[in-house]
Amino acid sequence: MLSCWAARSTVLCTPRRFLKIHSTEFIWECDRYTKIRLCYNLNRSLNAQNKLNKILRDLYGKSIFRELYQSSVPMQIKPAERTTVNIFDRQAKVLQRERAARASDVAVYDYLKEEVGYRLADRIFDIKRKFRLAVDLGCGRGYVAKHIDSEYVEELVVCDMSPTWLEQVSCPQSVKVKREVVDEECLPFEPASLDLVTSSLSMHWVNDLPGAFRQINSCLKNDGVFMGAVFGGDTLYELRSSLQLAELERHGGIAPHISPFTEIRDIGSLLTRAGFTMLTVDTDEIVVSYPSMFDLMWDLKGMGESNAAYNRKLHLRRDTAVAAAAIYKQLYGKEQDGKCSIPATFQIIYMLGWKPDASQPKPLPRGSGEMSLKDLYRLDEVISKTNKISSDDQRAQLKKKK
Amino acid sequence: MESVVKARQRLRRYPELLIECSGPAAAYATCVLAKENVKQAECDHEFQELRKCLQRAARNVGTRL
Repeated sequence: MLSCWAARSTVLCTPRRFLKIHSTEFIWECDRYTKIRLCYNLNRSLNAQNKLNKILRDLYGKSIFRELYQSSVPMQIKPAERTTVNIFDRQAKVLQRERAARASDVAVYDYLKEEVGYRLADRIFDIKRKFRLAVDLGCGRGYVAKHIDSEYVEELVVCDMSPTWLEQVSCPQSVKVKREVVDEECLPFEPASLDLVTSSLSMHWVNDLPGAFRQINSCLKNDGVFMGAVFGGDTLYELRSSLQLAELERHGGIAPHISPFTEIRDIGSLLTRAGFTMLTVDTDEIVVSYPSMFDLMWDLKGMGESNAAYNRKLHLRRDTAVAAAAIYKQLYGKEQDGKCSIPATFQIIYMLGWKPDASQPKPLPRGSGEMSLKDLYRLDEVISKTNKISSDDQRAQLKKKK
Repeated sequence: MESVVKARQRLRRYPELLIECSGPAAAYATCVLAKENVKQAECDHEFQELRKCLQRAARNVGTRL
């Protein structure tokens, strides 16, 4: 498993399609096929004319090249550590999502994301608060958005990289919904403007996850919530091992076919480094059965979850695919009522983090403890009074009774 | 693009061909899984058997591999 956050890869040269430079660090690029602004993070100036201008200005006090547009708005998002990590090809991901979105049977592949979206939306309702402005990053076809009620959210902004998927989002009537094409690596929101940010199964394609978390943290208001669900390290381990064994036998070596996922233990530290407190990280495993490995791979493609890593092998030979399918069935296949099927594991990691605020409960100061853990065995003798804490639901019921 | 479309249609039929050849497929898979560190073409004989079976199955069904 790759540890993406420690990897340092070489900077990619941007193609000649870029339109504007806002700063020497962030370059906006407009893809001419999908007209989506993608954000590349470079730590050096790429434009030779700008460099030359600087040199000439130092020497002669004037520049001879036309100055490219420099935004007067200062870059509001400044990551503390500048990491140039290029694992995933965001352009390829957009194209894959667009292709999946334009298929006629796009709703067939919704099952997994719909289940995870429902479970994530459930967690929103566990927080007894009305959020004024909520953002759903990487919404897909609106798996979380369709469950959101005006009782919990006033205004919702649904964001995804793929405009076609965004059009297919079905939002509830009572909530004010705004659709925006957004790249999760470069959020266009004002700092301290959002109350709730959710992200269901799309952050596992983000290159700079620490940076993305930091951006989300800066865009949140104090006491704001970030709720996310990503695929964990155990996802599709059966597919990974079958392909590896088949490639070893057929080719003599292996190539990565499954993209790298984050581990549960890394999520906690990532969120803490981004500035979130009171974290809740838990995991869930969904096992889906398929008739064969081919069906699994076609379903993954239909979901828009094809591999988009830069180091992916672009071609999978039919020999290798057939060999991998045979190995998969032998190694993991199950038989039930005379029907053979193969399981595919999807490990989902749910994470919840709060932006720090003075109103949040803090640990008591050192030395303020009055009870000793040694008295735990005779707790019922020692405690002086009991207090019943009622939940918001019970309080609401009491109010209704009155 | 015609050839690509036709190749894709042929590829969609691979799962049913594999079901037809479950015997040779299991033999190949057991050969690979039995080895500690499998090297290139160590189970080539079983794989060629599997491939021949798939070709026969494809001919019976009406496509080609």
